Amino acid sequence: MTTAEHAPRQIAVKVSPDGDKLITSGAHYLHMSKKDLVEAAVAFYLDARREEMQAGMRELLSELDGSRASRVAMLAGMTRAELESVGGADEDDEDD
Amino acid sequence: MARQVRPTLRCLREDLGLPVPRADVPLDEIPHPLLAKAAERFADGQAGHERIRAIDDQVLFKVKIQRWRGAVWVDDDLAWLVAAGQREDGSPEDFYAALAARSNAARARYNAERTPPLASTAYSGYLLPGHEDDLRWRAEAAARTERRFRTTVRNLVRQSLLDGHEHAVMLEGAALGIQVLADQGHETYVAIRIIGSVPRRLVAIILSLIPGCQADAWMSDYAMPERAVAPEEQIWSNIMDPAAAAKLLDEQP
Repeated sequence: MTTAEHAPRQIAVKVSPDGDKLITSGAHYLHMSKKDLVEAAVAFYLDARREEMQAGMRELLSELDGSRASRVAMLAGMTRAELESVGGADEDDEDD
Repeated sequence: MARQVRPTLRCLREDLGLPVPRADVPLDEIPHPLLAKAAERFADGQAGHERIRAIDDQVLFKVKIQRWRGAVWVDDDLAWLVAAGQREDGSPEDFYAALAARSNAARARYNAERTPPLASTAYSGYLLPGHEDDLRWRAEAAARTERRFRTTVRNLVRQSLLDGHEHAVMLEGAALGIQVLADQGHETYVAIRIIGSVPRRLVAIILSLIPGCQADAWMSDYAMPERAVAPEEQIWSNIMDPAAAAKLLDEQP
């Protein structure tokens, strides 16, 4: 006989009635338990959103060319041309 | 409250005949006798000033030193030198008379082009700080922020390289922690932890300041091996070029 103290701890998650309906029918459709479906779906969604976040950051980083002027322009929320038109930024301490 | 006095970019270029310095030099620190005099006169918000009476659409004040004459417009805690010129021999007030004449002509042009017409006799709005002055103000603030970010990030990386622990500071209202783990299977691993609501462009700047990391190799993590990510916490990681790490350690902090 197994004892309850060896069973992994389970956590209840509250969802809306519509969400529960979707999870229930999805679990039937995929022949999975509701628990396994929710865990797999969350991991899948987080990975997808992580890809999205990384892509967004890569896009922002691609606007930076290693120059100080590119960083100052991004921080100021202006284009490089706008920054140059009002004086530009020193590159003197650049040593990356 | 002590006021700064800045020239508008138009005044700096056209009236004072000075080049626009890099954004690392605040315009209120440009060495010029008229700006120094204006800073002295307008530093105290309570001091009395002589108004330019011929300009009736804005309140402009006189500032004078040696042969230089200027017009100062006060905006809350900031004063702007909006026009400047030199007195010519035998005509002590000619700068202000010329300014009034230009402003009257500007008023005539304004009324010819726009409705409703101005009821004032002068129009000096074109002298006041505008879009490019706002850009310059933002550029100076960004240059200061970038320098602070750069010093902070490099110090944190250097400290973590020395002991392998996370080092953290508060920066722009957020907690920034950096941990560098050298010798991770012959690789140097760097993790950036930011807690707080931070605009994405600030995160990009921080990541870009970590030396020796490929820009397209940053990974975002939603969980740590030993714990969950806290609310408003974001974690980014990358592999650092050991040569860049060694170079940073050789630099003077």
